[in-house]
Amino acid sequence: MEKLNILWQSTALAHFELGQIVMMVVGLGLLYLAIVKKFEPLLLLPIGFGALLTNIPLAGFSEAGGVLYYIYKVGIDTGVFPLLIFMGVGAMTDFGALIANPRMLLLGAAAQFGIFATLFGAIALNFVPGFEFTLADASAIAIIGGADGPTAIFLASKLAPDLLGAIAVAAYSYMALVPIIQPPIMKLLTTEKERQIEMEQLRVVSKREKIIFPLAVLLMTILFLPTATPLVGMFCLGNLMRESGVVDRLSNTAQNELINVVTIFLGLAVGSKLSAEEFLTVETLGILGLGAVAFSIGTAAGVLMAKLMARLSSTPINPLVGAAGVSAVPMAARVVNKVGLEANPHNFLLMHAMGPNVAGVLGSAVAAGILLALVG
Amino acid sequence: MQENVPELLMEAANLLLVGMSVVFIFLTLLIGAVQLIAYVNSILPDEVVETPSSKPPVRRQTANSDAVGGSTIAAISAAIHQYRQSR
Repeated sequence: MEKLNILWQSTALAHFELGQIVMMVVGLGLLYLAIVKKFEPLLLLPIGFGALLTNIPLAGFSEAGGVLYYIYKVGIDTGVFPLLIFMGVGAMTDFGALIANPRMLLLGAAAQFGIFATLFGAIALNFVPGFEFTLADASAIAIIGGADGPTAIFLASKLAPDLLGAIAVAAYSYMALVPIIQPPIMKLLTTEKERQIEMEQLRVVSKREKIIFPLAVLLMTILFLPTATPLVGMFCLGNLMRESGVVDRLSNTAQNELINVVTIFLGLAVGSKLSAEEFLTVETLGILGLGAVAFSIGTAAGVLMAKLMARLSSTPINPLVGAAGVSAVPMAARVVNKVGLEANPHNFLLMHAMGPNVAGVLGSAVAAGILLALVG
Repeated sequence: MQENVPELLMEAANLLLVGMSVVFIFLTLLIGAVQLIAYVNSILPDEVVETPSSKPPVRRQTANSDAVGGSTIAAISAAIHQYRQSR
């Protein structure tokens, strides 16, 4: 009888807590979104599976000695994984569209309003009982509005590691929801006529400009915003490897094998933060809500800025491209293209939207640098 | 925590102003930098060396179009004719 009892005690069944079961359901929900709905599957699949693993009773995946614990310590606590991902993203990014039309950088700047407005909102949420966000927490939550997964994880790991799981899940979920969140806002703020505007073809950008561009961005970051250099520096390294054309092997590795390997571990490590005691709080609900607000405000600010620029500019600007100012590369640009095509079947905005889109990546990295400098 | 919320709000508003200004200033400077690069790039002679190398293919193309044989033109106009009739 006693032996039976010992055996029973060694099964997970005897030790399941309600919170763990709920979190396993959350993990399964993420797997469902990834596999059936194809929402950011590259990340949500490992995150969902990590959530399953970390909530297994007795296995101790996320306690000292467990594999997820070490993956988290090595990769996210140090900030290494998001930076390696950023290098890969840099190696995949073509700045040609932005260099051809540098004014689009203003749209990438305007869309960052979503971040700072949400910071304000997160602090205001403290008036509701149950929420206790510090300025650091609020900053980490607000960066969801930058629509940039690695940047969000990097900043959250520095400013609010406790909230990292919820922030990462919110950031990647909303990035997957860009095609659903953005179009209504874009249509609300523009007229049919504005959406039909066709833009002039972009000039050809020489290889030399593309090589100098990442170096110029890095130089400016070094001079004016050193706290953003981890993100911008890795991004520029990736981009320089791509554009210089002399290290194709390294560039290919950064944008394929390396980023894939890191993505697996990054997902698992984020999943390990989805434990019941850290995730099942009112604050998580607040973060999910604020994330959606951040995204919407960012989109709206981008579109409004584009409308302003269209008024002042001599060359035609379709205000829809402003929505691509939130990064979410290349999803946001594709959404712009789609909404533009709905209004005018001959209007291909994809290349024009790529400019503000990559500007958004730079903008959110700059915003993260500012938050690190002022709050961190 | 709950008592100093107004204070935190002030700080957040401050961050909003400072943050947006810095983002705009930084990216505006970057616009200047990109335009400078484009300008320098357009006046430096190195570019002239590159242009001839990109011109030959253009020339070849025009040469090709000159060399399009009568039979090709006939085939194309026949195809156009057929397409128009089928509509």
